[in-house]
Amino acid sequence: MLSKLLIKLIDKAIIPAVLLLASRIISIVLVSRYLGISFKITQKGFIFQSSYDYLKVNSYSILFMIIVLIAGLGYVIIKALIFHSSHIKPSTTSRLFSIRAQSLIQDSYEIYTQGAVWLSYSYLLLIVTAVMAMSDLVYTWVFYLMLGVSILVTLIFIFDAEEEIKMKKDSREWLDNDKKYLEKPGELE
Amino acid sequence: MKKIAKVGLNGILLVIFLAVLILPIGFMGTMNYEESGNVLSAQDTNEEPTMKTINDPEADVPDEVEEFILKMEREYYQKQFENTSEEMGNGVEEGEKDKQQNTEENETDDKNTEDAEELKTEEKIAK
Repeated sequence: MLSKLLIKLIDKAIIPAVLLLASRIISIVLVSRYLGISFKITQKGFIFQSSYDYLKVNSYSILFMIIVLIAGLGYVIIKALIFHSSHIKPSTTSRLFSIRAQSLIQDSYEIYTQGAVWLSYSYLLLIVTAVMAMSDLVYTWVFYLMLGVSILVTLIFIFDAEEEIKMKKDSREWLDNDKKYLEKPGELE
Repeated sequence: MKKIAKVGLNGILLVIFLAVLILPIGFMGTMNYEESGNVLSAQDTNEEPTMKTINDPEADVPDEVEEFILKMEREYYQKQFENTSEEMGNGVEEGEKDKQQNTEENETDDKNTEDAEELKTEEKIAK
């Protein structure tokens, strides 16, 4: 009754959400401490004394979020390119089993749902950074960095998906259409 | 009926998914800065005099600062004095020039009148 895909997406979206949220809060505190900028915590959130302080802390905080995003996307990309069950090398498989890290080998369904979630975060962050850059609330180079990351990651996922579709197509062509020797239900006994 | 329930439940799942997606991005707006509220208006007045002289017994001016201020004052008055004396000097020179011009003009006038008189006497003699 319930959509399995939606449940999977929610499941995969929780950890990135918590990571990004935590990175935002921690980075605001750390950057403010490092730069010696004072702030107040009120019901409206973090309040800075001047727009210049806000610009600085906000930019470096978003940079911190981008680093976390790159780490998450990098993890998914490595899984998609190297540990993808459809095209993993036998030597890599045996090595992963020997170090008991076989959980890294995942199928397309697992990898692409996770990839879709991280990509969604990447686009949302890109939109927010663009709006902030236009309003002079963040340095412009942060927006360009985010734009570059989003484009690069999207291209990598597109190439991987194309490869996957091609492999699926080839494997279908390899199967013989002759059903002469196929077992029919109830025929074995 | 079953279909409506299915769509409704999946709709709720979709809303939950979108909420989870927007949560960290929405949290980015919880940062703000204070607008500087110390803008002076016409109603803002300072009743106490802000200027204090060196002779003020309440003003605790260090000796070095006092010396420096006095030196600056001395230089300022000296410059003022030099400027005024220059202006005065220029004024005297201009007056002298005017006087010279006037005497020259008078001399030329006298010459002209003498010439005219000479001409008149010559004419009379000729007649």
